[in-house]
Amino acid sequence: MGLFRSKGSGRAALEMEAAPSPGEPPEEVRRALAAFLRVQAGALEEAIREQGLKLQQAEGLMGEAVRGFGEALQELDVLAKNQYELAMELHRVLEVSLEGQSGTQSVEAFASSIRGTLDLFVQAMMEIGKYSFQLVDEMESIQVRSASMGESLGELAEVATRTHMLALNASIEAAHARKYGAGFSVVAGEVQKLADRSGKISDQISSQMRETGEVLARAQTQAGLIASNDFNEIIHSKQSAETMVTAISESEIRAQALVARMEEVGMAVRAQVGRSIQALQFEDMVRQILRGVTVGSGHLAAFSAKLQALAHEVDLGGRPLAGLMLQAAREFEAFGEPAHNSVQAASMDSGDVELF
Amino acid sequence: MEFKTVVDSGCATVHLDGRLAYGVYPDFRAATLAALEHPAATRIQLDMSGVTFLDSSVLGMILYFNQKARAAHKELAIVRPSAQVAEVLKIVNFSKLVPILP
Repeated sequence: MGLFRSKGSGRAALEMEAAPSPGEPPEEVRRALAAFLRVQAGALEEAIREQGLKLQQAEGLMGEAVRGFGEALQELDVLAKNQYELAMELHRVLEVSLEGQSGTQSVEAFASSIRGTLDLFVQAMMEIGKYSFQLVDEMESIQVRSASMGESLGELAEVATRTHMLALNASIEAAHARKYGAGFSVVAGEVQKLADRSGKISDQISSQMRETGEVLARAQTQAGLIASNDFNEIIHSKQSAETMVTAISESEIRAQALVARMEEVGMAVRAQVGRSIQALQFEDMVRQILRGVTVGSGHLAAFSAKLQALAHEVDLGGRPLAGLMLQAAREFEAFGEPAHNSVQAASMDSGDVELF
Repeated sequence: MEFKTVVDSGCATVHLDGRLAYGVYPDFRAATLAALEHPAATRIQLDMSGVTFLDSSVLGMILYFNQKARAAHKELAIVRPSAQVAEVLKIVNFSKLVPILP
């Protein structure tokens, strides 16, 4: 393009050279000039053709890349939207468990309830243990008293035996007294009956006491078994359950934070996809630039044709060489149009917008 | 297994040691009753620094003794529990029932 831009100084030089020329240059010079012009025009045409092919190739590659990139971005936009909706759904699910609905509990409330229940259960077990030891002590006390009552019954039996012996002796003495001891004999007989009855009652009570003692011994054993009940496994289960409940509560909090983060990332991805899609408009700008280059190539082709025509004229020799060159200089001025100023992909605040 | 009871400055301290389970109850009862019935003792401490194992039945044993101590208007506390004992007492929140002192 520098050839067109230097039109002012070139034209002046040609005018200065043409004016004082008294005659035409030799034939060899004219032919050499014509040959030179043809070679230049041919080289220019070849360059234009090659550049045209490269432009077409670049435009095709760019279009294909932009299409592929655009499709990928649209797919990414759909995926980001799906991801965001999934995060929102998960958020709603977690909110249900956190805030609770009718008939459901929040995780925190559930954890608190579990801890409270386990505390109550363990305390109840300890209270049972306490009362079991109290029962053991009281059973022992009853057994001591029962033994004491047994001793008293033994003494009672001894009294009955001795009373029986006394009544027997009294009967013998009454027999010795003959008719004077008849009344005394009756009394001795009654005392003996009472002694027998007292002995039988004492035997019955002793028998019942033995049975009661056996029952008490069994009850004491049972109380001891209850008191000795080791619920260490329950205590450790309580600890495990509390650890698990704490872990669940912490997981709930972490899940909430992760979902919130997922939502943020999803929104950010969608925003970036939107920006990328907007940035794809550079395709239009590049096409506009390429079209401008194509138009410029057309101008160059016309310039090459002019050069060919000029070479032909010079070769014919029908017109003075200086006149031909002046005419060519004027015609070439038309090719010196200012370069087109397109908008930039990075910013659309300045530049000439033609397509959108 | 006999447990030693020491009375000093109005405080009776029962030194429990070894593995505590249901079988130690007669000795536990004898030692704690001695502390409870000591006329100079207004406070009772169960020193559990030497306890290497604690069966959960012992918790009921201590609660029962705490009930008797309260009835006798005497304060009961567990002191210097070993690591094993402290862990069990912590799990069951025993400090809500009987004071635990380091």
